[in-house]
Amino acid sequence: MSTDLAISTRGLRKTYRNRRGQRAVAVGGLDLDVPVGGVHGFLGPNGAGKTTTIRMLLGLIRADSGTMTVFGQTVPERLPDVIGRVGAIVEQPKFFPSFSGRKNLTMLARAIDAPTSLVDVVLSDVGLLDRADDRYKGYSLGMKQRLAIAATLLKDPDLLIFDEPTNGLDPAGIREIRGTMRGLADRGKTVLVSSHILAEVEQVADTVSIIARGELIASGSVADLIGAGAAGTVRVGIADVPRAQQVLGAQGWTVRPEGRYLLVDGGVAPASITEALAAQRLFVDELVPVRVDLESVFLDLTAGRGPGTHAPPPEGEHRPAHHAGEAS
Amino acid sequence: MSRLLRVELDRFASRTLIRLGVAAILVICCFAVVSAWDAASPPSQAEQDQAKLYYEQALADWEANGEQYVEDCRAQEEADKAASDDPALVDYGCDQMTAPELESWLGGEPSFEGDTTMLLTPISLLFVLAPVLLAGSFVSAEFSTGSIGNWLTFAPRRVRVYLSKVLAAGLATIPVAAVGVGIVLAGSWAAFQYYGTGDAAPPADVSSPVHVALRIVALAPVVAVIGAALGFLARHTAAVLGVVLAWLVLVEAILVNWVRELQPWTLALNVQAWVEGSAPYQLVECTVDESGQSCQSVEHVISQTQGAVYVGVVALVVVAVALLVFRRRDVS
Repeated sequence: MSTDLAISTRGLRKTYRNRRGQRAVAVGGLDLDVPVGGVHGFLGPNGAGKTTTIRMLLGLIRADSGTMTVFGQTVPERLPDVIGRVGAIVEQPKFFPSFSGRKNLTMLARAIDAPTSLVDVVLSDVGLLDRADDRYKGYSLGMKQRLAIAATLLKDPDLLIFDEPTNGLDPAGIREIRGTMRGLADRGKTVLVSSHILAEVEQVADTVSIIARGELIASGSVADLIGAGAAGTVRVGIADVPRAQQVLGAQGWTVRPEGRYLLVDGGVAPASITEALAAQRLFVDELVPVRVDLESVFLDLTAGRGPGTHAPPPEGEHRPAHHAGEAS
Repeated sequence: MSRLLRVELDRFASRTLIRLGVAAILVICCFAVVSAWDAASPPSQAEQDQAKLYYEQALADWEANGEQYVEDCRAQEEADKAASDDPALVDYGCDQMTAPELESWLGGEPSFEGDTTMLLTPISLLFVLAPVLLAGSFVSAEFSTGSIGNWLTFAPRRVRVYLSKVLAAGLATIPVAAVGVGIVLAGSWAAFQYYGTGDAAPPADVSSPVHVALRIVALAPVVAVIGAALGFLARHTAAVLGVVLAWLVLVEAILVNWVRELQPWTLALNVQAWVEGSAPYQLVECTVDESGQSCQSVEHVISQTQGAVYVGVVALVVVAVALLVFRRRDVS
């Protein structure tokens, strides 16, 4: 396994037995690579297997089969050797509710032999110093998240894993967490953030992996994935839509009406569109290249792979993972 | 490991529920001291006068009717023997019927050794149940709040995590038990000193209150360890309580009442044997001879050694099973 990778999994599989005794696949042979450095978005719909994967990486649950490495160390076998480099928040932060934020962090610091003087430093880093002696159960959700981030910082980790970190946060809290993740990555840390909210990941992630039903369906840089998903559509606003559709269609371009607009697919240059229309004395009101966002790519890739138990593709059907940047 | 142990001891001492539980234990021990003062105090003049009055009435009655009482008793015994399938079991103790004595109304002579031992025996039940529940809640709260998952991302070696929590529960219980029985012992000793009754110097006999107290202090951490292990298995304080209650009702009460031969293998009797030095139990044993089958109740005794070994083995088994389960179980 390459040490250029912060995390690598191969054929990772986890099944659960449901109440009726049937096996449900949570993660079905996942191959995941998270490069060292930057923010890596770990995306997928609810029930795709993101949290299960993270829990397996952290040794909280056992994989049925497959291999995992963190910074080149096989986990869970060598997890104790590498856990000091990993800080993680899995789902909602969980601390001792009747202890203060400071008491909770002090115990964690003592457990990993970190100086207890570091507690106030990390509390200050996340803006919780003035509420440090309040009981954890009195904290708001945002404060709990910030305390959890402070806890991860006690280790000064090289890899931070945030599982759905903005769940339940207000817009200000979401922005704050996003800023924290970006800041950590800019300091050379690797941040793995799992989410089903694409917009928040798109703004902060450098690379992403998209999973559905426990399988990787795409991975690569955000820019490449958006580029690969983009069809180069241009939206044309024009008064005489039917005639403009005829003119542009006559050029051999794919043209679709959408209300008072026309959508021209196929990466046609906007200048060519204005030239063709102007030649017929049709003048555009608006000409906008349609920006393909990560959400569109995500929805395209996960279409028909909704949440719930894993169902293998029909016999003979093969769904290879889509790697951005590769010929497709 | 020692680092984790220190953190767990700190957490044990900081939990509100445990602090309340310890306070309750110490309050109950203080109530026991009140009983000790009551036992140590000699009867007042009014109590002595009352006792003398009752004694004289009883003596007068005995002198007038005593012989008749004995005759009636023997007649009833003979009649019941004749009607019984097993006459050997009918014994009304008519020969032991004697004239009343004043001491019967005054109560026995106060004794530091006897009275304090009698006081410590029920207190031992407190130091069995309370450590199980407090240690169980200490561990299970981590599962019910989900904080164990966070903890394992800092300390992933599960065996060490497990041992640190179980050992912390055991070690933290020792001072609580020592202070609790110490309060009873010291309070009782002070009472006997104050009233100048009984033998105030601690006797050396194994049944002495000091030795009983020491055995309670030794027992408390063992049951706390069992409680902590149950916490790992049940993962909720209410579930730990349910397991303990279910065991007491289903096994120690119903099953043992149904199959009397199981008595020497009950936790309650073996704990009693350890604390009190021995624990008697009765079994009905029947023999068949020429005259037919005859049954009689025979007393057996569980030794202190058996009690110690039994409790130790139960603790080891529960701790080992919980460790195996915790090592393999998913934490979600």
